[in-house]
Amino acid sequence: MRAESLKGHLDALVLATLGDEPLHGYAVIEALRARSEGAFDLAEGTVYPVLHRLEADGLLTSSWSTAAGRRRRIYRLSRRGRAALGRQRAEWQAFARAVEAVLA
Amino acid sequence: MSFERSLRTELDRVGIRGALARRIEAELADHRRCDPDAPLGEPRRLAESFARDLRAPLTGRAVRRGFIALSLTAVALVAVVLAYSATDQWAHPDVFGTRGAVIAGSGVTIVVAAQVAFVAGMLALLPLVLARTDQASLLVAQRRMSVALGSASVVIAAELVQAVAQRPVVPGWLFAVSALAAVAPLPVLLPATRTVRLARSLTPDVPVRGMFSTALLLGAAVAAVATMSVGSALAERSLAEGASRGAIEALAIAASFVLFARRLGLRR
Repeated sequence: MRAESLKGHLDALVLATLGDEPLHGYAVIEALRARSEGAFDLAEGTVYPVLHRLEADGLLTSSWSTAAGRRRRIYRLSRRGRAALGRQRAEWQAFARAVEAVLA
Repeated sequence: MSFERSLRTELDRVGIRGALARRIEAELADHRRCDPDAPLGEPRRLAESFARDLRAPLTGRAVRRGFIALSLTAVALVAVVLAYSATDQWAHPDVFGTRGAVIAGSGVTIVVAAQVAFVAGMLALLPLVLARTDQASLLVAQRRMSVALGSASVVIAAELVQAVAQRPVVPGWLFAVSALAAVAPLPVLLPATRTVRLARSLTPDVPVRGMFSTALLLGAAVAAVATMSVGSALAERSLAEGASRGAIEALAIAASFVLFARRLGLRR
């Protein structure tokens, strides 16, 4: 699936990916790819500006961690981010039901 | 040119420098360590994505932080005024002396700069409240907050000058309260100024249209002058005092309009 198709959904996808556990940027992209079974094959650089923007909007928090000598920025959902994820999930489910009803 | 070097150049080109640039470079370097062939995209497009994605939220943050800094500056100023009034310690300097001139000059500076800070700060909130995120609106919000924080810095400097000038004629504790109250907002004001600068550096210059009609601006100016005249006349029980302060207010508004109207997005 091309990046253009994901426009407007990338925020929700990134929030959902971080819903289970805190992750660093590379792991977020890997999780997106794995959970979509390879359907979301993004230009990987596009995810980092989104992570920074979601953090600037207060939906994510981040901190440095060091593992095996590597310094990594770990992102996690903030309380506002979790609430936003809940809202976006509900909106998507309503939208998907409506589209399904029309297309089926 | 290596990816890292090219990325640094492009980040600098779009206005991302300092700690934020170092953080982005470190994150992408870690990504490339995980997968040396990772398709991160062209540095130019990547840098532009960061700038595009960050300018709106950073402008919002800058305006919010700036407004908190302005509020703290106002609270500190009111606290000093109340302390002087409560203890009846307003100095009555010889206006012909240097000390008197410094006290009077800093007093007028505080009154004028505080009003510029208040008006510019309120105007900076408008695009945020109206949820406008186009580049022109972001630019106007940044410029307004920049003027507001600059004016607040002038207020702080004038408060300090006034406190020092008053020192020989007021109790030591009152001098200490005045000086401390003056500098108290700085730990909030300085980071807010940095955030405004960062947001500004990410936003290209675009044409800005005047947002208010001439009639509205004129009406607001007349209301401000009337409020100052009537308020001063009542407070001081003197028509002459009301008229003179009203005239100073009118002059200050006219001068501020000439100096700042374009920066504040009030006229083309």
